[in-house]
Amino acid sequence: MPAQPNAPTAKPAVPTKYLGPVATVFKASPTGSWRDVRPELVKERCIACGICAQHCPLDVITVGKEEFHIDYTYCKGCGICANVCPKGALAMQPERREG
Amino acid sequence: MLKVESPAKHLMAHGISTCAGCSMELAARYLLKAAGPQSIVVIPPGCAALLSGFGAETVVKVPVFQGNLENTAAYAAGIRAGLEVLGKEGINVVGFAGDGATVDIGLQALSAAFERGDHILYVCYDNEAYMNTGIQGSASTFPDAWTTTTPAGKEGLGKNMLEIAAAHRIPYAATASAGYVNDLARKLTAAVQAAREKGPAYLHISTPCPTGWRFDPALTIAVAKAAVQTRAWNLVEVVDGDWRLTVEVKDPKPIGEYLRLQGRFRALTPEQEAKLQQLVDSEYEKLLAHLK
Amino acid sequence: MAVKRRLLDGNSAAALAMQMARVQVAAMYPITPQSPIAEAMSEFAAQGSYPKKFMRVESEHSALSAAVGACLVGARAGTATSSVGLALMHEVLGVASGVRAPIVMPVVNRALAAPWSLWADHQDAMAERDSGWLQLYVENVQEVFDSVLMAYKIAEDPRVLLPIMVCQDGFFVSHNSEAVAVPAQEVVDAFLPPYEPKNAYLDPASPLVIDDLTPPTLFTELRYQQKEAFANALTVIEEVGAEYGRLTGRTYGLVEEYRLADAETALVVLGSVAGTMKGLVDERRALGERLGLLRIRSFRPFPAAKIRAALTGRKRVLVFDRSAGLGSDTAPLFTEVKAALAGLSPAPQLFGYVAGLGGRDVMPATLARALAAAEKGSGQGVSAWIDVNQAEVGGEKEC
Repeated sequence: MPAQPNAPTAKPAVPTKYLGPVATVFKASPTGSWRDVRPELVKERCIACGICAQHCPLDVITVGKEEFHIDYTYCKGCGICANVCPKGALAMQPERREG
Repeated sequence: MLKVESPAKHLMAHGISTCAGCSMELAARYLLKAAGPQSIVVIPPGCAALLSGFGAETVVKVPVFQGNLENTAAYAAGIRAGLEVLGKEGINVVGFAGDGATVDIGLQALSAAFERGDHILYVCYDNEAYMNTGIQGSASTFPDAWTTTTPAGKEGLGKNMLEIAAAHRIPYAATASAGYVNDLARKLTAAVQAAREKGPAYLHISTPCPTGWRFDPALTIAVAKAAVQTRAWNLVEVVDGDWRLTVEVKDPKPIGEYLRLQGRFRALTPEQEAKLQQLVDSEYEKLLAHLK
Repeated sequence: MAVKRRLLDGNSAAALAMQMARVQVAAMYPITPQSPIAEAMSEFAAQGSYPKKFMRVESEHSALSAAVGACLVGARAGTATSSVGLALMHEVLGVASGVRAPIVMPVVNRALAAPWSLWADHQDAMAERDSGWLQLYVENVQEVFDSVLMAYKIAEDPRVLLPIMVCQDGFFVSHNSEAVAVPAQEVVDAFLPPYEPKNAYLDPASPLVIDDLTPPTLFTELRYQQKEAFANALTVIEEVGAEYGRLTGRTYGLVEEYRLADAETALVVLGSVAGTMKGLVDERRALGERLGLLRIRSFRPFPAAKIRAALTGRKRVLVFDRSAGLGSDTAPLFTEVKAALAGLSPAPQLFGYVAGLGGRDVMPATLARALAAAEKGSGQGVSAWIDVNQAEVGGEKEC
């Protein structure tokens, strides 16, 4: 039988094993493996407006005054960020994977 | 308590098995930002059920119940009633359902929750078909659009869900779009507040679907914006019975600029396109009548 | 111990028991013959008593959905229905059971359409045999009251955590008034403490997801949990029935035996027909016939071992079904009893009868015909239809 999630220790009334279908593990899938193309920053064009981050369905873009970061573990390469960028500061590049 | 095994900036994980370019996912993130951790969410088995999780794993950090397709509003109403009798205050009860689960099979339970005045927020993400089961047409499918059950184009004009919601005289009803995220965020905040303080709140969000509408995922936001810019989708808010446009499109583009972005209208004839232009124009005139 | 006697019909008894159980949320939709339960519950709520919240829903489907929602945040919840209303709930019945929501639902048994009928028949509940709900069938109004109270205690037991239907025959029980012994509220409170969720529930302070998609690697195990709960319920029903007996003097078990110990012929039945049968048993006993009765209270879980033990040594067993069991030679109760007695040695002769459909009275004469038929040994092993008026059937079929 697969491992059952453990009950919160603060609530002793709850048995250690839940009955019925219950999900208790917060976990993301590494959806970056889906990517055919990846967004790459063209630094000199970026004005840090944050529009790309506002529209990323995965919320994996971080835009600050000094930093710009895309979490490629999850980025599916949909291209929305590049499409909404008013300055053309994101270029979709073919994904290069080893093997 | 959740065992957190992946990092997340907010209440949703970043790697979810939604399609690339999914605007339902984008809408869900804005919803959870507005509702916050003190929320309980009911999600029927549609695309958004991907947020509920699989087996022991989930991708959201708020309590979620996956209901059935037609009773999201009834489960939410029961949850609210339970919280009420237990004296648990300050918790948002949210239904998050697609157009099929709302405009088709879920309309009866939703109408009843509106009529009773239950303090729930109901958010419909409208991708205009049963996308999770494979792009079957719904009452919300755009006229003449292709789906797997409307292979020759969808017949009928659909339902105006905003009017239906507003006809229940609920305190807050609005449309929004994944292409207008600031407008969306503001309305979500207003809807959360209305559901807490006044009664039922309804938000109907246009969430274009690259998989079902047949367009490049990169264009999701562009398609959502085009719907608004052509007046195929209007951004409206009805607060205590007062209607107002929140994004006024003064100089609309021809409907063709919206239709031609999408493969689902590929077989459209010029005559059909002209008819859809007339439809959009006349629907806008009716909308203006509400604003007076 | 303060015990009042109150004149109640089955519906009022069900509602009063739910009120005294301090059900917090009741969501109900009216349907004949259940409507008086919904009316009474809304009245109690309006008076500020329990239920604390009466939800006026738009359908039975939403009634049960709302009850599930309330239960999943930790409230004691209930609903009630009949017939096609129960059928409309079908989808949500499985959810309530699958997420282990201990909801109690009085079911006022009424035939399913078509043909339209307002009257007693067990097909509505029988159609939900596999829904994962416990099903108790009661004989009279007192038992309605007692069983609804016990049902909460059984459902909420951590060994069970399953929803329960308390089934009473439409009109025969639901609209029939009897003097009912009603224990004091303090007695009920001591018997049934305030509800506390004993399994996963929805709470932002401790988030989790209930009823997400379940992979094939886990589905069987979750069903097995339910199967174990039904097995546990066999014990819990008897324990709770005994405890209730200590408090009230009325003890209930999985089955009721009436003059069965030395019986040659045993009648087996669910529900209110048992009253008529007890009269018949007494009459025949007076004539020297060794007749006895086994009334099955718990149809789910089905107490097969109890039934086998109770019927061992009988010469003849006559099982009466108040539902047609279409498409099978044996109606639902008979099917189960037959299976429970399989391989018994010496084997009793088994007879099945379908009677009392759609509100038809099961008269002593009906039972006498069944007994006479069994004497002749005709129709063994199948459910025979004993009260068919051939003139109304049309065609030339024999029954």
